Amino acid sequence: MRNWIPEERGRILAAIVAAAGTVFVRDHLALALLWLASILILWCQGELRSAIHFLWRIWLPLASGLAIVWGLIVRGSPEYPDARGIPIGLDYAAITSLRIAALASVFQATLLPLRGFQRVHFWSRLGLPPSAVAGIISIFDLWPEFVRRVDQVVAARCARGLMTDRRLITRVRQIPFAFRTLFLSSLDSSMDRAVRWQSERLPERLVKAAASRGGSGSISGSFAWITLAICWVAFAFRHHLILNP
Amino acid sequence: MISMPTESRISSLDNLYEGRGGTLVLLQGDNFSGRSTIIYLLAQMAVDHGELGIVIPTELHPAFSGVTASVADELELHLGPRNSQSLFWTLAEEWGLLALGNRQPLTLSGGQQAMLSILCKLALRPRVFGLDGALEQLDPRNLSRVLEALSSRDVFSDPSVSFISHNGPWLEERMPLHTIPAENCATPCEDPKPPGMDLAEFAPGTAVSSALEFKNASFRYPGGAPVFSNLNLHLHPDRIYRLAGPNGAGKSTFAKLLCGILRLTSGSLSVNGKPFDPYPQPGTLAQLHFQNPDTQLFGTSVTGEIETLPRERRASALSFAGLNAVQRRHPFDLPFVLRKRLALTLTLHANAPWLIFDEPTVGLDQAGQRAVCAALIKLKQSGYGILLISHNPSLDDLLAPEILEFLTSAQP
Repeated sequence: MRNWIPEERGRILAAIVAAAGTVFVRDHLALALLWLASILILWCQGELRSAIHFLWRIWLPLASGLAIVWGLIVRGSPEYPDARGIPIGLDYAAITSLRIAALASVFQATLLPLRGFQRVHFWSRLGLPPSAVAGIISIFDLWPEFVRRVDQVVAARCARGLMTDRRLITRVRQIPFAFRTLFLSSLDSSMDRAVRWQSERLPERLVKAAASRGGSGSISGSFAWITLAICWVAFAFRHHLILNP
Repeated sequence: MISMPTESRISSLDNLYEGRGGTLVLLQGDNFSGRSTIIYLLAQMAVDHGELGIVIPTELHPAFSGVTASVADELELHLGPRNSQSLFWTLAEEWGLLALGNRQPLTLSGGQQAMLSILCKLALRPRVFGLDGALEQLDPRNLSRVLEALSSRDVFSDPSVSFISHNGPWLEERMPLHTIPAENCATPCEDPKPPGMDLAEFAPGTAVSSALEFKNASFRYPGGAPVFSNLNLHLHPDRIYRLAGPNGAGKSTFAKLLCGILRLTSGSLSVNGKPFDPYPQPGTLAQLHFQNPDTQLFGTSVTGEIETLPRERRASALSFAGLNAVQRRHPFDLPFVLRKRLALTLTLHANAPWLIFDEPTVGLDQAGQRAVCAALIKLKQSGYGILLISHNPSLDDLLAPEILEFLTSAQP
């Protein structure tokens, strides 16, 4: 299995090729294929749950919104300003949704499986300086920290008797307090940490610790991923040319 | 206006910085005597000399790197690659931190977080190491472990020096410390100190007596091992209980169950003989004071916080906390002690039959601790049930609580 995991530069190069192709390709089948391939890679790396979570919570509402706006309200596409009709609007919504799904899956397949020091190793192998690596890693850790903080706010408001039931409307009313606390505490923590990072030479320690663990991929994995990405781009353009000679 | 002593008012720091290699210095003094400022200035002196000066504050979250997802990674980041011959990795094992390997640092209990941050920062071999109230969350065994490490020449070699700010006489009983009154190194602050807590102003309401009974109660976090199983327990109103147990045993978890923040996995709770589930109605049976006040303050001013209390208790609550002069200020603009007092006051005046206090005396000097204890006794006399989570032995002397020793195994 390890042989099919790419090393850092192969991983990012394959992702760039696939992402660039996604932006330019306008073909439902090709985009759907890329999406499915990325989901398959995520499944092989034990990250299917995250992919489904994204599709259900973010992509599905977004895709529905696009279908309503372009298909039912605008009834057209910005790509064909002279043509009107529900099918044209729906087609544009579908291609945009597929593009978003494919891009997100490529991003997830590239970065999600990397954990802890693997993630540090990934960014430092791309030649970024230690301070930039530490900054990027801390950004990736922001979301789990936000989730924890929101839980903390809800717990604290329950503990003070400021949230005396669990109805949806009561939970919605807690949002401003969660946001305010998130903003204040995150800003405060960031300032404190920035000072500590500098004096404790944390970025250098971080990169050193990750280097001592080593990378997780192989050259053969990199070759396989890059080849797959190039093959997909070639297929996508060829298929597009066949459909639009 | 309240202000801490400024740098210009503090003298004799050079002696502290230079002269105490390898020893533990305990800075003694009341709140606002300048202890914290002295510790931070000493750490800054180390930085100015091109060396490392580290202070671990009472609020521990900034002490973590914020870039690791597990205790194991946080340890490796600070201690270097795992090595059984390494002194600090041996300490990590002895302190029980290796057993917490996959947990996220911020999900640990307060005491476990303190142990982790102390070990990580010690491993960086700082020239000045300050502990500003961080030891107050440790159980007696962990407290002894840390003091032993700090006084060990292997861990903390000459000319390094550690400074401790701690509100309790019991520290000196465990370890010979070089004790220095903060007033000896800081000239008095010209600005008036904020008034202390005024017990005469404390006017609790009257609680509906609520006897609690847990039957075969069990709890586990999703995907985790049981925190406790088949617990059978009677808690009588009009009494003060103290939950005893090591750091990470699940004391705060038990408090969260009573408040309705968490829900029992199995078993039942009854109130005055009737089944009751606090989860759908959080905060109605019990309210909880968290050990870190910052997680519990939401208002944009002290007055805004006080206004969440019943109208008839607001004026007395403000006077009791000694916060009249700062009532228009944002809570996060106040020093830690005043934020702690504010959060404590909110729970002391809360409208629930059971009030739970998680480390209520952290950061408070002796006078503050006595005032809080006297308020707790008044609450008990007014029919409230009180549950304490604290490692401060002074509370046992002042309150003579009933000790609940049912939580004895550390949470995995």
